[in-house]
Amino acid sequence: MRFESISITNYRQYQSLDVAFPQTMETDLHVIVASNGIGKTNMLNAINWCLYGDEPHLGDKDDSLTICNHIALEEAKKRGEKFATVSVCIHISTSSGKITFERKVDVNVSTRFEGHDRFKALITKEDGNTEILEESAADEVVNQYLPRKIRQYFFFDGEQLHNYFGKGQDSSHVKDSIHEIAQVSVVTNTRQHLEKIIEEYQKAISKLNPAVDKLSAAITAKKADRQKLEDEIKSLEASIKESEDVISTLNQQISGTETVVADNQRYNDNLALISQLEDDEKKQKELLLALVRKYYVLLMMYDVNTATGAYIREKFEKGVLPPDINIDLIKSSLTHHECVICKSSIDSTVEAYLNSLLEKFDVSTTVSHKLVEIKNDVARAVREARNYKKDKQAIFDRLREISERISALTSENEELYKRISACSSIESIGLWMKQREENRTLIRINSEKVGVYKTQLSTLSQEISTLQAQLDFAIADIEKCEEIKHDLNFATEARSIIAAIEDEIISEVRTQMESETMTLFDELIWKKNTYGHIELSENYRLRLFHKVTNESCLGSCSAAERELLALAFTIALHRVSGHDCLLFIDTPVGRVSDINRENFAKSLITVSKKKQLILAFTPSEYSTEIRKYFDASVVSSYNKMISVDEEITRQEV
Amino acid sequence: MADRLSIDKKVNDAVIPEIDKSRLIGLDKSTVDRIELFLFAMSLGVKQGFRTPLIASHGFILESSILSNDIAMSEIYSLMVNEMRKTNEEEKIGNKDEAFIVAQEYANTGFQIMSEWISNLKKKDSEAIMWDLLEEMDTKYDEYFQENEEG
Repeated sequence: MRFESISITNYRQYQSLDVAFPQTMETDLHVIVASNGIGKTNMLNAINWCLYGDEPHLGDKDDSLTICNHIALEEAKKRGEKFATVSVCIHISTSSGKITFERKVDVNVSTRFEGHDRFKALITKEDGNTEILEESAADEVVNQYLPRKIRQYFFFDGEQLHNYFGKGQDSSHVKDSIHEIAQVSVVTNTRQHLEKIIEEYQKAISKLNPAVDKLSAAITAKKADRQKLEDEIKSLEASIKESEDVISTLNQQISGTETVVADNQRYNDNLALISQLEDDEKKQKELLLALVRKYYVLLMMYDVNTATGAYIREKFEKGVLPPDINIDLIKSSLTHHECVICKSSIDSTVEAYLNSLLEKFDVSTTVSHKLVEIKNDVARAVREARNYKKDKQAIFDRLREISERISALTSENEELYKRISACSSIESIGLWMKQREENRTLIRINSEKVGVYKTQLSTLSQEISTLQAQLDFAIADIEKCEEIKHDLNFATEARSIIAAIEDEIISEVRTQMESETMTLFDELIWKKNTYGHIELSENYRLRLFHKVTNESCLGSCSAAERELLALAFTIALHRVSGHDCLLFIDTPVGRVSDINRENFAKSLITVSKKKQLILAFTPSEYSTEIRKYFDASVVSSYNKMISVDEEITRQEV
Repeated sequence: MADRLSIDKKVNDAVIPEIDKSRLIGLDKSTVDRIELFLFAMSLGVKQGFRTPLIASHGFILESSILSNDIAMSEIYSLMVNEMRKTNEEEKIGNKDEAFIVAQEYANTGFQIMSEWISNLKKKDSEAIMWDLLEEMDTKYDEYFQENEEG
């Protein structure tokens, strides 16, 4: 099945748009290029609206403009019309003919309220006869070719590919899809129906013996508890497995770089230490300058101070440095022949004594005062000059110590830097190590829980066995219930068989999906000797294993490789489900860059040889790496959308 | 009576600003008091062994600031004692004006040397001058003490 064309009228930006997808060569590759906001994603919405009646790629339906093009509404109003009609038609071709799906809705030009949409399928068979089916009958036709439940595998946003199998991603969409394509729902419904029948038989038996009723209720309650525990254990074990996978992937990423984080810490600590030492070195140099300033004075003045000191000592020894006597007072007393202090007269004896004092202290008292005043300081200056070498040595020792320490730390840091710079991303390693530790903790906690739950489960199972034995005994007592017992046994056995079939079908589809995905991935991937096999675990988580080490390695894949794996899975799902139809991808290589973009372009061409591929790019995304391979020899149709004004998007002619 | 120590006006205008700017031996005003710079210059002059009279005096340090340094005044007077003894003018030893003149003239000799250092800073920076001074001090120290200790 393939899309032949799409016709859009008055739908959001598109007032009138017809895009044809003719296959003109071996490849069935179609390119749409439009800037963001032009309506690339709304084309995806238009397809969904036409086929399924909703717009899953609309940000917030309640907070968006009316579905009808704004200009179309204004024009209809001007023409005096009450309604403007929105319609989207998709023309498809199948092995048995052509089908046109058409959805229309009338929008009130005044209130902007949307009426009920109308959906029909026009089926034109090979003999030329046309059959028109409407509403639910038309829905059936859509489900036959493009089942609603797996529509996200036909029309999707490229961003989805990037996050498809990421850690923490909900794998329920994979589970739902597998169940849908396995068409296991009939079997599941049968099993659920049988469970109800069993319950009814048990109730009927209970009525005949109240003890049976009580026991049945107790068993049902215990079984419910057991089921809860089993589910919990299963979920915890899946979580443990997931954590183990994460640890395994992280181990590969971290391998050989464990010491880098410690090295980085040491490097930074050393830098801080060097900075402290450099500050200290600066201080010591300031101290050295202070030493020069102080001791230069003391040493250059040493001779002077030594001579002054000796001179003062000599004067002291000779006794020529007097006690504190004011010579001027003596002189004045002699001149006035009376004591200038007590005013008593001075006789010749006193005068002779005063004259002898003047002769004895031949150095003036001003001088003697000064000499006495500086005596101690000069002696101290002489003494202190001796400390020069000791003080200088102390600073030199500290400076040498600092220099040696800085030199050692710098050498160590050079070595550390070599190791750190060899590692691509120190931040990532730190993060990986943290994640690994978190997962180890998670495993420990979950394992402990599993242990506790298993003990509880064992106790519960014993209790159920005991109750079951009591119930069997009680039932055996009632002869009348033989027939019901027979039916109950039959239903119980049937349920077991159906449950086994259900498991088998799902398991088979899972195996098929694993095999098909790996085959396709192997065909598309540019690394030919890296990946070995794929496993779809019981919790529907996809795991990719390395060819040589056989270790789970999805976490180590590049964005492009992960997207390609998601694409392979999608195509495998088409094949296994039997709905081998087109793929419409919006922004297919938005997350892929450089050489991987080229590789991805080549892989998309390979896909287009077996499947119709409609790709909607932004102009920057449709880069030289893509255009290099998407030339006229492989692209069947190329449509560039441009904005006429803010409200209308048209094809560039 | 002198109430301050003076330096030559030319030194004040041309040398002192350069000392502050180049932070020569950490003798700039943001690192040390002016009296410390003066004592250093005086010691430099003493080492040269001659005095250089000031052409035009410019007040540089107030007496109160001199007293804030515990050895400044005793060093100035110690120098004065030596000078007066040379000329047998010991009665002048207590004369502060005379003591200041002696100190200023020795400091002026020191400032002339520092002026030369500043002119040649591009060839010999402050650190190199510091190492020269250390060498000179080592020699003096050895001369004074090593011989005594050995003796």
